[in-house]
Amino acid sequence: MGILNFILLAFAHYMLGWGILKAIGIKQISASIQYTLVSLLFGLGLSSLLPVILEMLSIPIHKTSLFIAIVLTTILPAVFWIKEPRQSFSSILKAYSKKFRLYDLVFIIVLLYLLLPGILKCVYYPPVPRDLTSGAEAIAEYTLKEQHINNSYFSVDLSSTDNYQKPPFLLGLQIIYKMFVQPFGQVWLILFGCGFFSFLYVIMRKMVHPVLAGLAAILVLAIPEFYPYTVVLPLYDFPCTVYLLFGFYYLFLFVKEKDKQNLWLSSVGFGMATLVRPETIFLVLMICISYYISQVIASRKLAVKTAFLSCCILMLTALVLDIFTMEIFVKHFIPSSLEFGNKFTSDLSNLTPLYRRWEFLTEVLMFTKSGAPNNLSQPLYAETFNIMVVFILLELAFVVITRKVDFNAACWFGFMVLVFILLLLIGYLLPFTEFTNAKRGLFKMIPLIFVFGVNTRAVQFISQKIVSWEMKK
Amino acid sequence: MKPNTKKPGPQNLPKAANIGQKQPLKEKSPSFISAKSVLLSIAFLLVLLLIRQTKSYSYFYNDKIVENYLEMRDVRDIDNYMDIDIRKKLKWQDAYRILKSIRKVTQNDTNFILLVPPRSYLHLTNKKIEMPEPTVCYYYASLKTARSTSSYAYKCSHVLVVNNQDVSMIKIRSKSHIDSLLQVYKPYSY
Repeated sequence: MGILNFILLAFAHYMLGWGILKAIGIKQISASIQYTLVSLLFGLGLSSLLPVILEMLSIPIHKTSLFIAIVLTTILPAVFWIKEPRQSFSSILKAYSKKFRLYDLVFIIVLLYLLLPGILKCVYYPPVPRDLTSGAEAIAEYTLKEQHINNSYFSVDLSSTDNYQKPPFLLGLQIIYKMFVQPFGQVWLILFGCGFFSFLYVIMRKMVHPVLAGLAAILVLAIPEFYPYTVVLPLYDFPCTVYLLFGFYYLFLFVKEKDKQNLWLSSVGFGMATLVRPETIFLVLMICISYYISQVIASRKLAVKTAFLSCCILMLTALVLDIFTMEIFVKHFIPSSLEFGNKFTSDLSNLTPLYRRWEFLTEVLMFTKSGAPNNLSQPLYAETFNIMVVFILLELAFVVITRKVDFNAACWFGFMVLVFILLLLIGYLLPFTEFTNAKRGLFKMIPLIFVFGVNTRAVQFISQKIVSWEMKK
Repeated sequence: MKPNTKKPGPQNLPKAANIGQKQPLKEKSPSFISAKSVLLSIAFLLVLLLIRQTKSYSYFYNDKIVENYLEMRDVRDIDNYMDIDIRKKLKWQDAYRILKSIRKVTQNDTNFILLVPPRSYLHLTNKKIEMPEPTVCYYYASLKTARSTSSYAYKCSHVLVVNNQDVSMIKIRSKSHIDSLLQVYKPYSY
């Protein structure tokens, strides 16, 4: 594996993401772990469009052209915002180490220990998922040989798959990493895996004591069905989950602080999630409708007008990226375009698929009575959904006792519900969707469950007790 | 109605919303290592160990962590374990070997396209051969294949047939030959 190239590419992604954050108006990105991770992963996602753009411009995709494209996207942000006051490396390091405690180090060691076997497998083995080898990975392989995305792959019998018509997110990243890092590509997933767990820990650490944040992050990692997709199997659902978490987190901050920068960050997060999985645009639409209705209920004229504008901003990135990748690239530059409209349900009055989907999600996947679906010996999601029920019941108890709804908990609970409704609706509106897809669709809920959990008042109470004990002399 | 010009923020939220949002560590934060941070670190590890003891999480730990570590350790015993082809063989197994060997035999035939019969037909042999779908075959070994259910089948030059519990490859003679093969495959599925 070209470790140096891997590091240089990570830096290039970071710079591209840094440029986006700067354009949004975020200051002191490098001094914040949270923004550093967001820059890295936004840049990583957007880099996937570079081979796509080269193909659309009919420029052959080879090492030189791709290298120039990567260098341009690395240098341009730096040139545009050259006036940015520079921070010394020591001041950045000081900012990082200021709040760093022994338990943070212990968490990092545990995290690395748990991620390492997956990382080794990701580096060592070739790609396995059928969705990848019959689509993006195969196209990427022949792009390297023939220098075009529209290559001899499309001269093969394509009757058994439609994976070549999926968004070019995996395709772009596979081309870049196969060309510059290692023959199997896929190691970009390591950046996603490590970045996601670090980000989750960092944001939860702001909400509760780091020890509780660490426990919650490890519980997210220790989900048998989820873990392989975070560092071993490069597919669409996990990157989509990561970007959705970004979107929801900054939306939460925006709703709380009414800060435009957070709204734009949220918009980019949801946009990137749509870039990975186009159906996410339904979720963004649902979020916008929910947000708008909440403002109408508050019945403040100015707020309603502002809410409409905010909804437009939220939708903007998702729409632009969806139109660019699916409507322009996939429809016009990939042979045999998918006729998506035909796959929508024609009979909206038939609610059977909706009920069947509900049954499958709740009884088979989330709360299976036998302990495991599909004759597996263990549940796919460990105790995650039982933990979710405990969190909900505890918070409900607090609501009943105090007669007050906690804003933070309510907000994250709402996000969870929205994602669940989306999972239900997708099975209803797109009846062709395989039930097994719901298995990975539930990934989107997992980080939200635990962020909701740490915001419940029971966990907040425990957190405050630990903090005050730690502060006491 | 007068618009609300007061900028909302954590300071204006109800008390309950601020729980945990403030950073108490800012006030008089302890150093990197203190007796209490050591105790908290130990507590963190102990809780993790307790979680690991539960049925579902011990399954995760044994199956996803320990097994993977052991697998990656065993891989190093293989000669030339970093060789790309060996890594492919380890993961893609028989399908990759078969496709590579067919490719080797037919690499000079530029018009070679293999008709792959349905899976259940191939399973008539004791060998239970698994052939991936055409796009995967092309990815594994640059070998063009087609399924009998596709119109692409008529472009095929060769076909896999089951003979006496064995699988062999024969040349397709004519269009009527393909038609007769497709009739044979009809009851079987991929």
